[in-house]
Amino acid sequence: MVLRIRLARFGNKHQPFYNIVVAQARPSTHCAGHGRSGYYRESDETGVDAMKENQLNWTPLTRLSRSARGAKPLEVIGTYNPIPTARTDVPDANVAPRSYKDITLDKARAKYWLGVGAQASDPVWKLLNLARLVEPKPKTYNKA
Amino acid sequence: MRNRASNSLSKGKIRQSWSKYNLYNLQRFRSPATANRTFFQQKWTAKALSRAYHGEQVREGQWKRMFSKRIRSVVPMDTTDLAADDGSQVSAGRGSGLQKQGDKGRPSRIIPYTQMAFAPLERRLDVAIFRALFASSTRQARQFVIHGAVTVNGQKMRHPSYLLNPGDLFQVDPDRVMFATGAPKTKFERREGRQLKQKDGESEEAEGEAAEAKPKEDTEKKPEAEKEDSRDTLKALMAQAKTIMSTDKDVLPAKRKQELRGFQKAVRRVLSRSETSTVLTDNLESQFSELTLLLNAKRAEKKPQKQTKEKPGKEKSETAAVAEETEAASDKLSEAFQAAAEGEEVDASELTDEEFEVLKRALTQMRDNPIDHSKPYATPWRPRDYMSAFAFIPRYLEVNQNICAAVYLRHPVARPGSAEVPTPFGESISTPAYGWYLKRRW
Amino acid sequence: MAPRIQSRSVSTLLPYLTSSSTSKSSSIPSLCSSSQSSRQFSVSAAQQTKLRRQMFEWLATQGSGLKHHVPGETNYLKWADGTQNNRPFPNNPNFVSESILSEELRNEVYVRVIEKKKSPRAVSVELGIDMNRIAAVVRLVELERRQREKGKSLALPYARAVHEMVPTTPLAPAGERQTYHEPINDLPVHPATGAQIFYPVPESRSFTRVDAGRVFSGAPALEKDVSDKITHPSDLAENLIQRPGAIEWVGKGDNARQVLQPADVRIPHPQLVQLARDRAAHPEERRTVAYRHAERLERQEKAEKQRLQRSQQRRAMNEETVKPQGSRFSFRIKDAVVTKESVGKDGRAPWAPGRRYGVPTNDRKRGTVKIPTRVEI
Repeated sequence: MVLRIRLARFGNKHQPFYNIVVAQARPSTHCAGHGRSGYYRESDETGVDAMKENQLNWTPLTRLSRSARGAKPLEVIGTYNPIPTARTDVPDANVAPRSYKDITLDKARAKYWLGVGAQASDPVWKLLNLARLVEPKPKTYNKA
Repeated sequence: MRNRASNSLSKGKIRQSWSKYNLYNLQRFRSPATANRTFFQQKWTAKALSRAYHGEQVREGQWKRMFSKRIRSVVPMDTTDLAADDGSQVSAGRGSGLQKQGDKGRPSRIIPYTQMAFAPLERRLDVAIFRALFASSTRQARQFVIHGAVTVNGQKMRHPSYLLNPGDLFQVDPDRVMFATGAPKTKFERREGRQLKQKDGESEEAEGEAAEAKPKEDTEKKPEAEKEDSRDTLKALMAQAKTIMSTDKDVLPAKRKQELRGFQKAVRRVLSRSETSTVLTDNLESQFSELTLLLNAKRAEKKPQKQTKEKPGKEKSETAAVAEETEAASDKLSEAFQAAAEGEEVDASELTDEEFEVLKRALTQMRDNPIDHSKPYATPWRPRDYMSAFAFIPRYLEVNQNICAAVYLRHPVARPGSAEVPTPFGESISTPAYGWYLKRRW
Repeated sequence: MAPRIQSRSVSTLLPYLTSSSTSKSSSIPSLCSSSQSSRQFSVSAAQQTKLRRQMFEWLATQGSGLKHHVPGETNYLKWADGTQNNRPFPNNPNFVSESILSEELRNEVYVRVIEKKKSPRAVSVELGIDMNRIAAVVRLVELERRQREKGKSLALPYARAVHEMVPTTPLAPAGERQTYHEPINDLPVHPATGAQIFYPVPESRSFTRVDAGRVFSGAPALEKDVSDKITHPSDLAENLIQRPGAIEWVGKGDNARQVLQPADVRIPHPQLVQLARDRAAHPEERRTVAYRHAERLERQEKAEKQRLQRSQQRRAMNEETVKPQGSRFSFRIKDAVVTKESVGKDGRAPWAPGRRYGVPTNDRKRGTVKIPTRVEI
């Protein structure tokens, strides 16, 4: 059972907007047959344990056993808007303004999830790096 | 939006437009008679008439959703009045205030609330552009927005129905504004423009060929072209001076006319002489500044010159030879001016201040309002006919015409005696129209 | 009528000569007559032709003056009594074409605010221009300068023409008093005052603006010892300028509202009332009055500046901009809060961070606004 911090796409065509979510990466094998009703209450799973600490134990069992791409995640910890916004309030006219992209992030939760072993996907890793939560990933290859 | 908004004379509806048909309709418009008509009928006509003007490009349902029965108003307060009492006098006595003998107070003017019935439409971007005098009709303003010539707070806005918020800055492409508000081209100007376009196309082709064949020639060609261009502007300057003379002919006495003629000659000489000098290869901007500098310099020199006429000019020419290139060029020009002014008419060759002003104006106009047949409007630019009859800028907008930008300061308000929403209709129409949109709520 | 600029004073600033337009006017009648003569061969409906003929007749006779303007004068339609004034619509006496700021006045505002570093509030009182307008003028002049630097094309002849057609407020020559452009102390009419209320008051009691505001907002009357302390409604202004949050609230839940304050507090320049009071109380001590006014103004500006700083700090606290090297973009990272309170019991609270799950978006429904409602600067 692996927890992943990844992006989940929202928005419309040509207007992407992402939630930064914590979700199950792989269906877990041992809780697949537990049926649909009831809530997952085992405490050996670190993620779920932490959830209980935070009183967020609304996650039904089905959520843990299945993690479809668009399904409701364990938690939404932020958003990322990849469409840059042009800046117009530049005091210096000579320097070309850098347009900006918006990120919202609950840093405390992100830190927590990373601490309990959640793995960030590459795009999220970059965002977390910008927020200075993780070191940049070492490049495995050099671009040609 | 169907295009049904015509300025037809038979219907006689008033539109948000500067058309002369609209002006005529506006002029002959009379409030409809109310006698023998039911209240519903009165409201219906009032609504129909005012909607033909206010937001005819907006669907009825859309407008109904925008309509608000709340009307903003302000009362200008006088600080000395406020300081004079704490309000207890107004409620003193039996509640209606103690009245002193002979003190009637200020005549209170009523606030024309119902004139504000269509205030929500003034928030629309297309209407605001029309109100800021950037377009000759709301439909045109709408087209500007859709065609991407309008920015709001620096970002392109393509929705004419965008509702401006207080503090929003909108800007229209100045060329479009000049086109919208300028006089249209005549047949001849249009033809000139076509020819210019053709020539451009040909020269581009030729240049392309030249670039393929000999890249060296291309580099040589450009300064030549520039030279010719700047020569043209100087020639145009000359022509301008001529027109000034011709317009002021009946005003000016004969002597001054002679002086002006002297100037004209001077310019001609400069033109013939400075072909080889570096001035002409410079760009237009520096040329212009040099010319204005010259004018200023001449004005300053005027008094000393009266005493020692010929000497300073010569001295200057000598020193100029040693000085830098550009300076030398400008001095050459000045020399030419002086020579022309002094050589031809020795005794009264100096121009008066007034004429200097006129010349300066001519120069500035030549720079800022040039003859350019590639533009879609008649050049030099002049306002289109009948524009002045519609030219007003409401107070809720602050407009900078130079850059064609405006700020929507606040929502329009009513105040005692006046309403800020520009509407051609009196209260006899706006009140029933407001009542129509209140539905059974009044 | 608002004072107007003479055309000569405009000329030095804006390059646009009107001589060309006047010289062209001679060609107009011939144009009209030619169109009339061509009508005789037209086969269109008779009535239409008549209307058109009448229109061109009017344009050639009474309307001919409207074709071109006289610089420095308005040129609107004539009223029924044959007079021309600054009301452009003959049927609407309530709409007046009001004056705009002249180029000089606009530059003066910019110089005073940016170069002399005066506060917009002070400049507003000096020149009689609304504070919002001052801010807008500064913004526009700044933009204009930037565009001039960049060498972008400007619509100078157009600007000149508009300033000739519309009444303008000129800048007073140095040493003279500036004529006010507009009333600067506009009191917005509060919706609560729309209702007529019958409120009996004993004749012996003085019922002031403060009490009236409380009645309109449905608040209980002030205690006697509190109301005795207020000698004049403008006494409240000083306190509320320092702490705008100190305004009392009445009602509960959705019905909660702030108590309506007297006009002395709600106008844009409340310090002017105190100045007028001071002047009336001490007519001969002009210097001390001016000194006290300056002090008050300074206090007020300080408080406003502090408030602005605090709000900026608060924004900066949970917002950070990162400019990574080698990237074309900068990233604005804002703090989000994910707790039980912020996301709700089922994690679907509308105010939770991120887009919502299991809830259809309403963005295509009828009646919802589908275009941007604001553009951030």
